[in-house]
Amino acid sequence: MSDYLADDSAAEDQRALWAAQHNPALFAPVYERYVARIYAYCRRRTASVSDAEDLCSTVFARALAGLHTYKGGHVAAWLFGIAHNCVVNYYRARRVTLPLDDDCRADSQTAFDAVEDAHDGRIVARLIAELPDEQQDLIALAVDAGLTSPQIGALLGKNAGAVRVQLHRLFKTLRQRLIGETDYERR
Amino acid sequence: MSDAEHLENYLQALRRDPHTLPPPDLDPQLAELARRLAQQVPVPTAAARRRMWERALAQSHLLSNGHLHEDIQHMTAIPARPRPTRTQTRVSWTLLAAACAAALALSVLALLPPGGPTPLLSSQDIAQQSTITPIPVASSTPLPGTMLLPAAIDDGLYTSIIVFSQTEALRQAATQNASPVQRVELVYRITLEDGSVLYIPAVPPQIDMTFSYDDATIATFFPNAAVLGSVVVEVSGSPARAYTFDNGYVVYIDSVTGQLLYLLNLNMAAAPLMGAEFTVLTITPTPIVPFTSTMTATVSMEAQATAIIVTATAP
Repeated sequence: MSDYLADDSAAEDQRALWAAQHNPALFAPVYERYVARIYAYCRRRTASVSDAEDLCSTVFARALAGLHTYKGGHVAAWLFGIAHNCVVNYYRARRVTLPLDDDCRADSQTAFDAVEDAHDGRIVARLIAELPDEQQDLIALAVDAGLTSPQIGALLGKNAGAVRVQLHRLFKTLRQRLIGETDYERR
Repeated sequence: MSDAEHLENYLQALRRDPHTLPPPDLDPQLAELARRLAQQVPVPTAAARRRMWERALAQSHLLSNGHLHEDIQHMTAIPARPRPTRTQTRVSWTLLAAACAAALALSVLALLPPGGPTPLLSSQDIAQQSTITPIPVASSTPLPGTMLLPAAIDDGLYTSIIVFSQTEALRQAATQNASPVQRVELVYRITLEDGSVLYIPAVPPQIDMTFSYDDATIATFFPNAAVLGSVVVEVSGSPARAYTFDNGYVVYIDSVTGQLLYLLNLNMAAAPLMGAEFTVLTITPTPIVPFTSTMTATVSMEAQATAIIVTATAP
């Protein structure tokens, strides 16, 4: 598998970032290109939309202030490296464990509601929120940020193959828990 | 290929197309879970994008201890500023250069002959939407200096859309009211009807710049330009200015009510700025169309702001 996302134009990203080092005004297109993915990652890893926006802003602020630290390589890896560190700091500061809005919680729901919720993904969201922090991060990086296993591996200091296998196991675990909660298999 | 690899491939495919079918060899239940998760990926609203960008700019200034590049300092948020006075004037020469480079870049699209590859602004459009005003150019004494702008593309003319507005809403209204071929969205990359791709490197609404009405200040920040003097086109009572460059092009910039200048650079690829390396992707050599008059097209919009289309003349 390519080390890049299919929709990444890595060379174009690099040119943009090199240009931004000389003229930071040119960072704007990099922001436009990555804000959705960075935000999605932050949203999955934070407790509210507000926190996600704050965190996402911080990521790009650090990127802007640290443009000179970019020495080449994948822009996505550079940005998500910053994002990952911001998330780590966020958890250290807040000790947040459940990144769920109220509307994602299903604690007091009826069985019927639970089935309905499974349909729209709320139970899935809750199950993810109940995972250990490291596993939540893996889901967020793979699904929300859209990073590949090699990219995640580079970010977390792991082997790409190990990341891929861990992600697969994680999906299987989630699937099993989903089956247990909503009779998922029969649907 | 293992199930884990199938899963990863499917996750990547879902990002490109949420309706893509899973690989036949992937466990269907894992595929269904992947599909659900992909559907849940949160997407920031346009307003959230703007908020986050504004915060990022503000925070980056703090993070850099106030020593951030001047261009970022000038990449401020949308709220209106007081109209600059001559003593308060700030000009980002880089952004000003970018503005003029954009002006240069865009007229190659705007002034192509009918049937050309990217008829961004046809004469008919101008006739329908604009007031065409010959601009008298005062005599000038060129100032010594180093050329800051990129070399001119051999053939083709350039134009740009520069919008002055006190508010983002008005600025957006100006662009939204532009003709369909001119209309741009606040996106990084747009594709025109003819399939050509245009780039908008500095479009986010937070990009603004304070414009100087002072000749001396302009000359300081724009040493390669000769300030030709005021070119008076009465648009909300403010003067227009003309700049000429070593390559012989003359760029006219109108000012209107409102002190902020917004830049839409529609073809970054054609205007490599400040030594940055960009690949020219879309420019097709086009014969120069004899161009004997300068036009200023004014796109009407609500009060207090006007979208100005700036054109450049061939040498």
